[in-house]
Amino acid sequence: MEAMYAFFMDTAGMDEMAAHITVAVIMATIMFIVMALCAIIFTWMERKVAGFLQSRYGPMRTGRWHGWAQAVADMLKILGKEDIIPAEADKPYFIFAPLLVLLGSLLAWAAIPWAPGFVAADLDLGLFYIFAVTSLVVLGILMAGWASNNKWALYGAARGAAQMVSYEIPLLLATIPVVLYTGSLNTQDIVIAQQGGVLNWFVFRDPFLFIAFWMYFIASIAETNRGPFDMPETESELVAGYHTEYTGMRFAFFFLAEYANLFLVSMIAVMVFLGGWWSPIPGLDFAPAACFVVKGVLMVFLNMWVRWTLPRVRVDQLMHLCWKVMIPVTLVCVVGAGIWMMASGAVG
Amino acid sequence: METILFWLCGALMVLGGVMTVTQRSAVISAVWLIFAFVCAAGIFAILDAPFVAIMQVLVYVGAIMVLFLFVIMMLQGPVLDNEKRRLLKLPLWPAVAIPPVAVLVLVGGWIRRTGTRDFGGTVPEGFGQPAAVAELLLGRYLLAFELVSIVLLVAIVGALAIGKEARKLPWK
Amino acid sequence: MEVTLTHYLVLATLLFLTGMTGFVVRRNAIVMLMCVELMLCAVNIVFVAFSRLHGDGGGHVFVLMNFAVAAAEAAIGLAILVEIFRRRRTVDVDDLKALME
Repeated sequence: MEAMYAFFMDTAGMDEMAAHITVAVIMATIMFIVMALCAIIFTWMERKVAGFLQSRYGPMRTGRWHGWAQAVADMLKILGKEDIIPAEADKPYFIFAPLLVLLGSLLAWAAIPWAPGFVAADLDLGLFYIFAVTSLVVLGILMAGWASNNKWALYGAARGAAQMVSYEIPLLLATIPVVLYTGSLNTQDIVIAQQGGVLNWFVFRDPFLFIAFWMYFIASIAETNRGPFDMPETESELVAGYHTEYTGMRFAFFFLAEYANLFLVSMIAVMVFLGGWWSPIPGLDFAPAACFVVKGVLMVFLNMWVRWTLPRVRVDQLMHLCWKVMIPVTLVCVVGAGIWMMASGAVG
Repeated sequence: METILFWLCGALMVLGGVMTVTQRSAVISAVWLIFAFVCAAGIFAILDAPFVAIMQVLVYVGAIMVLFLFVIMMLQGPVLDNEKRRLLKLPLWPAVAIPPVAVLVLVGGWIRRTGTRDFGGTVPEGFGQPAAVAELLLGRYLLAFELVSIVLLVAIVGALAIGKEARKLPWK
Repeated sequence: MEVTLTHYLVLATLLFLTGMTGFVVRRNAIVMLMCVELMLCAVNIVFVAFSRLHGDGGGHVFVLMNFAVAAAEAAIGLAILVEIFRRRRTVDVDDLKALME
């Protein structure tokens, strides 16, 4: 980022304001392209993973090699479809909702530290900011469900909102021990604090952090509305949940947002617990961004593995798990990690 | 920069507030109120209070307004819920309109008399960052902090007690 | 024109008055609660503005307290409204005058 600012201000001769705006536009474009790419790659990956987990092949024909072009073909098909707005829908909100869902996750992407110094928005409150803006996704889902004027969509949206608001609490609480260790909410500081090999990653720092990591992982599955916690879109009960009425381009936005969110929570897990851009072996950090992305994709794979293995839970089991199991456990993790820090002398 | 942001956020926030009050559908009111709250977060950010700004988004947008929308949808379902009647009977309008206008006139007169007050001076290092707020919260205002946690606890128990059917409550 | 403390105070006044008018005018109890939230938000702006003026973080702490109070108020208020709706099938305050008649 410093290099980019230096280039625009010294070489291209812009003033500070213009350089800021240029860099912001460039970063937003990069983020959006990466987001679209990851949606395409992950749809293919999801179908392949699902296939192999169920002892079948998944897409094999489109594009010859293991059906690699299937996702591209799907995207082209979805963009060519008719864009239907139901007659009884609340039009402006119906149109705005998918954009809000996408906006929530795109805003959060801005604070992800891809490599040392390469972060679109280097905020002091980065981690907190990510959790704050992702709450826009909940609003988008509620709005979509309500504006569709369809009872399945409304049920899906209500379930989605209840689930996401509830699971945001363990999600946030699980990252608090790491913030205790780092003493900073800046996303880059959190990664820098994990330098020096796999044992310095926060997952393996102490047992409480290890538990916190798995709590984060479970909460993040619920937060992205994916199986076994995909209550908002249970196809056997609610048709497709909050996006029942959406077609074509607007459905593609929800689709994009789902995979963007999936990668986002995986990247937060990598950033907070799994050493960010540091490679597992100390001293081998020649490709930080690649290391970060590979770890992120592995987390996504883990997520898909869980999704295609476990059966869906019921709504009451979902809420029970959140309020009566995960919140107490993460609270214990926060206190325990604090005590561990004092006992091991990590803090004065 | 600060000036532009202030006028932008301020104007949009007042717009959000006015739309909240004037829209007839409760859901649309809530959406405009959310808009106003996001603008308020912008105002807090301009005022060197980043922590409060993020908390505003996290608490209001992420929790309180979702709760509101949730309840509206639960009560009224997927129908456009317009308040069919006139908002107020005609003779009552002056009673409603006069106090705000009077306040605005008073405020205007006061500003004309005393002039505007500048912020002046700079803020200390780390002002509004979580560390600074936390030090106050767990130091000077510890008692208030604990009391607020009791308020929240009472609110949780109260909401449960009201919301749950009476015969299912554990102490009945 | 430079933005001064007065600007923020006037903004807060406008918002407070909007919320107040809304509270008086609207008949839907949920919207009335939302107007209260708007008034609280106006108060928060005043707190933060004065905090900035004095360079003292106390205002921020009180804004956080205000958030907690607003959340508690919303939770209790909405729970009461849900209960009223269960019994009366309405949240219009004009229909809720059993004690008046």
